[in-house]
Amino acid sequence: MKRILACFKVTDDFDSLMPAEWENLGTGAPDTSYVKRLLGCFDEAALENALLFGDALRALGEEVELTALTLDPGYSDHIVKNLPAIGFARVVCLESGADLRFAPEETARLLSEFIKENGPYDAVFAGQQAPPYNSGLVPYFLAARLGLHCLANVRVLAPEGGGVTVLQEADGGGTLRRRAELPLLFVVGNAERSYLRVPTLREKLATKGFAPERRAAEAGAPALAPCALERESVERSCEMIEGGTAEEQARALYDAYLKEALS
Amino acid sequence: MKTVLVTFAARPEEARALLAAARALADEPPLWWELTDDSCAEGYLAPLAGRAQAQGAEALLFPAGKAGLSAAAQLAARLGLPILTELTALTKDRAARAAYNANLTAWFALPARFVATVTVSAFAPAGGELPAAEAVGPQAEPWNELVERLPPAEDPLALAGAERVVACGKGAALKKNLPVYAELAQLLGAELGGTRPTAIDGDLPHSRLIGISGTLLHPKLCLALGASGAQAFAAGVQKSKLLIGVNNDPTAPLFRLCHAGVVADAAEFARALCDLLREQGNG
Repeated sequence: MKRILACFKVTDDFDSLMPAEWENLGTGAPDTSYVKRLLGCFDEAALENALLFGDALRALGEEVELTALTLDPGYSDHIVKNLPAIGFARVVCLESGADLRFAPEETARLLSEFIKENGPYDAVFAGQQAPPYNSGLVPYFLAARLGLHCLANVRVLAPEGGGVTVLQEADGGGTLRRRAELPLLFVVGNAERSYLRVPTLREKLATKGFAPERRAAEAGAPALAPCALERESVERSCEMIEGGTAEEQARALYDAYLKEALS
Repeated sequence: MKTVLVTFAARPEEARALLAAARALADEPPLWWELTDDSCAEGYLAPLAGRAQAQGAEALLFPAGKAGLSAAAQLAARLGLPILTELTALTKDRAARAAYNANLTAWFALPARFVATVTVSAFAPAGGELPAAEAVGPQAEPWNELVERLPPAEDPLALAGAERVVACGKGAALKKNLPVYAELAQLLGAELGGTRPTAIDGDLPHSRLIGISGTLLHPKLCLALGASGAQAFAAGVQKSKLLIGVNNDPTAPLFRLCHAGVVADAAEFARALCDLLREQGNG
């Protein structure tokens, strides 16, 4: 039996906030009560690549158990309810209620406590970063706490001979092909398969009535919290180029701006 | 403050940006440790931790990026030091980075000892002499084997150093219209880049991604086509000397950043502009 765990974060759609929400926050959080809750894009890829890894292991005749783990997901029923339908046998929500926006160390500590208590796992997946902090630190702190080797910037992975072969993105766009032995923590970056699969109606019906496990978690203070959050938006008085057709607009833009810029 | 620059071999532009950051942080000249290879950060943890402790390093600065983050984060965990990542500004006692998808800047008071990764494009390269580099080699990591290293298909710094850029968003429908935008870029003498959704959808390689998780641009001309202007992308184009936006939605947030804007279908406008530039003898 191979045991796989994927960590994920449900976050707010910060790009949908009204501009006024960003003003005069001090170190507080903006009002996000009216925007969508969504998966961090790298965490979505981490969940999907955990599933793909499970699929590949099953194709080799292995039994696989998949767990999805999150911390303080807030309103997330629309995301969490689909996870069992697409293959996660266990979905666990740790709930601290604490302000962990800028606390990668504490986030990793809380996740690691669950993983240690319920492990060992052969493969742990985490997305490379998630808002609002996007520090990119949680996977590395988690690997350190779990004593796992860590493969970062994972694009593709596949089981091979009891271990795994991984394609990793290198600085500057190159690719590294690496073999390694499990157990490992995979930091999923710009993955080739980055969208989470959608359950079929049959899969949804088969897991109807599912409720995630909810566990209390006690968080401490962040190691380094910001002393200020400032809005530094660039606002320009955009000159709109007129014209009845694309050709007229192109000509007007060329005459007013591009001719000089290209000379 | 005893500062150390930690870079990867053959990346002098990163060393110069880190030197600029180090000068903002402390008056003393920094040390410079150059890692011989960027393929596996874990191999450097013991050598770096040993040096940092022996030298009494108070600030260890790495370039932000895939290899830099991996090495810095694991070193901070090993040394038990606080870490700040993707710094865009530094003073003697404070550091800043983007937060909330670049909608805000978060300022942190610097602790007495710390590790940090520095956004190279946010610091103008320092002039003058670099300190002497001490080469640091990795320890063997038998748990993994690097099978091969495939080079990038194109110049990785092409976008970062471009004077002109055509930046496409989802509204540009790249999958259908890529030849039009490629021709437009060629006629303008520009590099082609895109927003995160265009990279996730595989329309452009990730090395062409513009924004907080890609390249922060400083071009003379940026023509943004079919991008809504989400802040994560805006952070990558807002320092353009001339930023022109094209979007069929007149309320797109992109226009608030632009010097000039055109309300039009991106592909239709690009075709018209190609025709005009050809007529004018560009390209």
